[in-house]
This record gives sequence, structure tokens and C-alpha cells, in this order.
Amino acid sequence: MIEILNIFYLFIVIFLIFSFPLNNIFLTKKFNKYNYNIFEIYSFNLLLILSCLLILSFFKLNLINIFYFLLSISIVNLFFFDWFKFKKLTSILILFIIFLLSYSLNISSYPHLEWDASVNWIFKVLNFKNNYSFENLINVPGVIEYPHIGTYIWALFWKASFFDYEYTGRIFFLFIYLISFFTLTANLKLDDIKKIILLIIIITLSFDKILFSGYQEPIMFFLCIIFVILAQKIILNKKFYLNYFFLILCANLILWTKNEGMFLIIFLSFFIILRKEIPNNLKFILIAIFITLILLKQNIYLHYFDNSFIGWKGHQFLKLNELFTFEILQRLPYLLYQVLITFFKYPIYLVFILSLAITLAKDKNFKKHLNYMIFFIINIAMVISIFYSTADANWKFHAQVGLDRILYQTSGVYLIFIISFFKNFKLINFKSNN
Amino acid sequence: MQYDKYLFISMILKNTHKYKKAIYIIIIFLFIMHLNGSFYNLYVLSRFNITERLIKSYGNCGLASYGFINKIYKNFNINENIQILNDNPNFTFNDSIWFKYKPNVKTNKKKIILINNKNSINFIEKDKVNLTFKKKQYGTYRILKNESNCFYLEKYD
Repeated sequence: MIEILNIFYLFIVIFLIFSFPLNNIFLTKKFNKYNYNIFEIYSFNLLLILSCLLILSFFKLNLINIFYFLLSISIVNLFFFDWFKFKKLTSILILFIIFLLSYSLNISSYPHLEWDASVNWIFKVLNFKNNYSFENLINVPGVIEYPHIGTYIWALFWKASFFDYEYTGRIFFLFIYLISFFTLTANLKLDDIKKIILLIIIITLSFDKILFSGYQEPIMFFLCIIFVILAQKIILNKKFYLNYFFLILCANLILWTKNEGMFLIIFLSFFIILRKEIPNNLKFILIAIFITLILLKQNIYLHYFDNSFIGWKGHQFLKLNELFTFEILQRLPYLLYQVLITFFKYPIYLVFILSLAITLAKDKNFKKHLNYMIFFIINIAMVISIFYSTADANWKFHAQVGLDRILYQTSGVYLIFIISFFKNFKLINFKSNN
Repeated sequence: MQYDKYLFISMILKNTHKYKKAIYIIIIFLFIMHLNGSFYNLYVLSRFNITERLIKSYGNCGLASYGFINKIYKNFNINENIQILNDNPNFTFNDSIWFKYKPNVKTNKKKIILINNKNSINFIEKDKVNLTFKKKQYGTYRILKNESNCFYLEKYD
């Protein structure tokens, strides 16, 4: 019973902390032109606070002091809280809490860490929980070069909890994951019951319990969705610079959540490059900033640990002349089979392919959906090439345990297309704010 | 006064309409909770404490052997890192180290927890064994605690 109360305490604390700074009557007035809804405010607060925590992780600070500081300022912010943003959202918020409670009970009743979490991520969490900084990661087991922002926040909420159990820190992962769905659907002008049904369907279709066993995929899932939402928010001739700022924060967090984030940034950039509403000079600046962030991250790892890599430990690329030998080409059918399995494991992919095919057949306008098509193709190509081009003899094992997870973290992007597909087909009488 | 069945039903329906939103929410709550097995999870959470749940998840002496490792740390009042060897041939990694791991604390090499022992130890005497783990010779150890195929060993001086 006390553990259940602790779960509720964590809900309150998480809701409070991430309501700051943007849900403030002064700021909402100031940024009135942006017209952010409450879930967008929470998402962008997450970007801001996670970015601050990323900087703090480089210093040897007591995590509980950081938590008390965040909690204090968010409590003070309650006096300036913009309650108007919650208007007419009671049912949607209740649905959010029901899902959060249901999934929290799931991870707390069976607190299990999967293999990558129990041999890599958890040691980073323990490092931060014991108030050590990023620099000390070299002294703990696991792959040093794996990025750490997810583990830092895991440690923060573990330490903030009344109980010393690691799963308490993972409740935050559920929160960030669910926020992405509610942000995605927040601007749809649907009556509550239709929106609730839509949310139940997409959350149930997407949820995979295993990914909450200490993996970083829920954070990546959230960040990929927010990246595309932000890219779509940029409107021609309107100087919404705050969206650009959040976009850069989001890109940086993608880099610091998982190693493959570097590739994802490149692929997600197509949503910027192919967007007519963004002026060319701003596109150039954004891409230049992304490249700088990638280089900065690589240099930080080289500076602290004298090492930096992509893929997994021991991952080496085959030489160019070895890539097309018969022995290596034989990997392709197996990898394609794994991709196919993933499509059935995460049906978002199947729904996306189907809705894309119908849209293309109906519109016959390939250009309009080029960003999603390119993203989908290169995403699949990247996933296959990681396992295809490795010199690691154990590639089959890595593909078995890793391929589906890499595809999962980007699957949220396709949800945006799926929702817009149903919106255009007016299957459930959509009207959108966008 | 005669009981008017139709009036009674219409009153119930009127009230139902009034509380439509609340009824929807209750239905949705029950649906989502049932869909995710939350009522069972709630039972598990209230019935079993965290140690019991961790043992259920990681095994007592088997799998990652949380139960045995926890017992050793508790009974022997250990405040340091101890080397943990997992002899399970299906494991390419050791997922038991983190249970009691303390960063920046030296690992005591004189004490070893061996779990899922297959053929890593050779008995010399009743409580004295020779430890060879993955073709590496560790030397002679005294058994401090043994449960099934899990051992807590201390180096023989």
C-alpha cells in the first residue's frame, strides 16, 4: 500500500516539476502567439529541464539538492500557475493518469531490467545516484561511450522516491512516453470521447512493456515525435524563434540519449530540409547547428574518455571490398526477415505503410509526402546496414536483440502521418487547429 | 401508492444521462486497468514485498539469483563490492553485478559469489573447493554459504 502511495507521490512530483517554467501566467501571456496547449507546454518544459540536467550532469552535485531545487521553484510557480490551460481537459487528464497508473503498476509489480539495462544503463544510474558526475562513468562497469541523459533523470527520480528501488526512477520514462501521445493529439479538435478512443488505440498499439525495463527507447520515442511536431510548427514569415530554440534542444537531447541519435538527427533533418515553410538560410543554420552538436558530443567523449564510437562495443565496419561478398550478402534475407517481424511486433509500421499506400494512390502526389517516405526508407536502410556492415561475428545476436528497438524509437514519427491520414479521410470527423 | 415501474426506469435513465461523463470514465478506467492486468498487479504489489517481487523476477538461486545475493549481503553485513560469477552457459553477460553495486568502492577479490554453478568448483574437502571459472584458475576457496548451486566463497590464505 505504501508503495502505491509512493507511486502517486512520484506522479505529483513529476507533474509539478515539469509544469515549470512555461506554464506561468507571465510566460503564457508573453508567448501567447505560439498558442501552446498544456501537453506542448509539458513537452517543451521537458526539453528545457532535461537540457539543464544534461549540463548539471557534468558537475559533481548532490542529486537530491537538484531535485529539491526543481521542486521548490515549481511549487513557487504554482502561485503563478496558468490553470486556464487545463480548462476542458479533465477527461483527457484522467485518461493520462489512468494509463500512467496502469503502466506504473505494471513495472512496479514485476521490477525487471532487461539485458542491456542490467549490464550497461543501470551502472550509469548508480553512478549519478551516488552523486558522481559524468567524468566518473569511466570507473563504473558498462559501455562508457553510451550517452547518459536518460540514466541521469532515472537516478534523479529514484533518489527522490521514498523507497530505494530502481523502478521508481523508471516511472518518469512512462510519463515522458505518454506525454508524446497526448501532445500528438492535443491539437485535434475532436470531442473528448473520440479523442479518448483514439488515444487508447494508439497507445495500446504502441506500448511494449519490455522497452520500459531500463531501455532508453521511450525517451527517444518522445524526442523523435517532438522533433517532427516542432519542425511542422515552423510557419513561413512568422518569426517563431522559440520553436527553433526547442528544435535545437530536442536535437541535442536525441544525441545525448542514445548513440544512434547521431544518425536519427541526420534523417529527421529531412523534415526540415523538405519543408517549404522554412527559409533556406534558416535550414542551413539549423543543419550547421546539428553538425556542431554532433561534433561537440564526439569531442566531449574524446576529451573525457579518449574514446567515442557508434554502434556497440567492439563494433567495427567491414572493409568496402568485403561488403558485397557472397558471405556478407547472405545476411540480407535474415535482416529483412527481422525487419518484417518488427513490423508485426509494432503494428504502427503496418498501419503507416497501409495509410501511405492509400494516400499515394489517392493523391498521386509523391512530393507532398516525400519527407515521410525518405525518413522511412533511410531509417530501414540504416537499421539493416548497422548489422549488415559490421565485422562482428555475433551480428545475428545483436540484430535479434537490437533491430526492433532501433525501429521502435522512430515509430512515433509515423504516428504523426497516421493521424493526419485519418484526419484527411475524415473517418472520425476530425477538425484540426493546425 | 402504486409503484410506477416506467417512472422509476425513466428516472434512472435521466440520472444516467446526468452522470454520463463519470460513467464513461469509470468504464474506460476499468477497461484500461483490465487490459494491462492492473488489478492483478495491484494484488501483487500489496501482497508481496519488494524482495519477494525481485526474487520472482530475478530468481533465488537461478537466473540472476537475486535472492541468494541479497541473502549473502544481508546475513554477512557486507558493505563492499564482491565479485559475482555466473556460470550459466546461456548468459553472455553478467546481469547480477548491479544488485548491490557501489560505484568507486573497491571490489573484494578475496570473496566470490558463484551462482548457477555447473562445473566450476572441485571439492577438495567438505568446505574447501578449487575454483576454475571459464578456464581461469582462481585457486582454493572456503565455502561460507551454499544453497543449491549457489556459493559464497572466501579465498584460502
